[in-house]
Amino acid sequence: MEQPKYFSSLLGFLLKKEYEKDPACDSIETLKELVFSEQEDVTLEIIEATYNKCFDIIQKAAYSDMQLSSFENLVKESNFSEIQIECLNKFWKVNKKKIHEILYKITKFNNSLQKMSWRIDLKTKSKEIKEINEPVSIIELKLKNNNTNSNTTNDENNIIRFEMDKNQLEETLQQINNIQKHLQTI
Amino acid sequence: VFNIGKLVDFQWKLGVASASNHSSQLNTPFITVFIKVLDSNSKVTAHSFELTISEFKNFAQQFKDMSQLIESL
Repeated sequence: MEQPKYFSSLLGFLLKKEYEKDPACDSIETLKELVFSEQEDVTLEIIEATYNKCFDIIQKAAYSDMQLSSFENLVKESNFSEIQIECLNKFWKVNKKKIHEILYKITKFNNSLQKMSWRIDLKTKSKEIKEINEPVSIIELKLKNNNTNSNTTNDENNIIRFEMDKNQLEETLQQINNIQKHLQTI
Repeated sequence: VFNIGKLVDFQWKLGVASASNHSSQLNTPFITVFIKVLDSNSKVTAHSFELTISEFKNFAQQFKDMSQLIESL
C-alpha cells in the first residue's frame, strides 16, 4: 500500500467502480486480483479497509465539490502516509471535474438527447403542385432516459422525426440564440 | 408529407441544478427543451429532454449548420 503504483491503481479502481460503474470492476476481490495478486502480505481485509477509507474521503469531497486546498486539509487529518497523501491529492486534482459531472448526470431524471441527425431535402414537385423548389430540413432526435429500464427500448417513443421549412428553422434558430444570450449572463 | 411530422411548438427553460442527494454543490446550468410534433395523422405528441451546456452547444451548432445550408439553396 506504500507504493504509489499500487495505491494509485486502487484509486483508479475506486473511480471505475463507484462512479463510472464499470461492470468489470465489481468487487474488492476483483481489485485484489487485478492489482494485488502478487502481494501476499496485502490481505483482503487491508485492501478493503484502505479502499473504504479512501472512498469515505472522496465521497465527502465530491458531496461539497471541494477545492483542492480543502481536499488536501481533509486528507492531512485522515492518517495517510506521505506517499498516499500525494496520490490522493493528484487523484482529486485530475478527477474532481469528472466526478462532479457524473454526480450531475445521475440526477438527470428527464430524457436526454442521445443523437441528433438531419438532412435537407429540396421538394421539387408533388401530385398537386408542378413546381415547388422548397428546401426543407428533416430532423431526427433520438431520446434516451437513463432512469427507466431500457432493456426493452420502446423505440417508438424515443425517436422523434419532423420537418421544418426555412421560416420555422429561422424562428427556432432565434430561440436558440436567445438561449445563448441568457447563458452568457450566468 | 408522408410519415414525417411537423414541429408545432418549441419551448425551452434554462435552469441551474443547485443540489441533490449526491452533492450539495452541483452548480450546474442545464437546458430543458419541450417540443410538440404534429404527425401525419393529425396527432400531436409532446416530448421533452434535458441538455447540459456542452450538449446544448452542439445542438445549437447543428441548427446553425442547417440554417446556413438551407440559405445557400
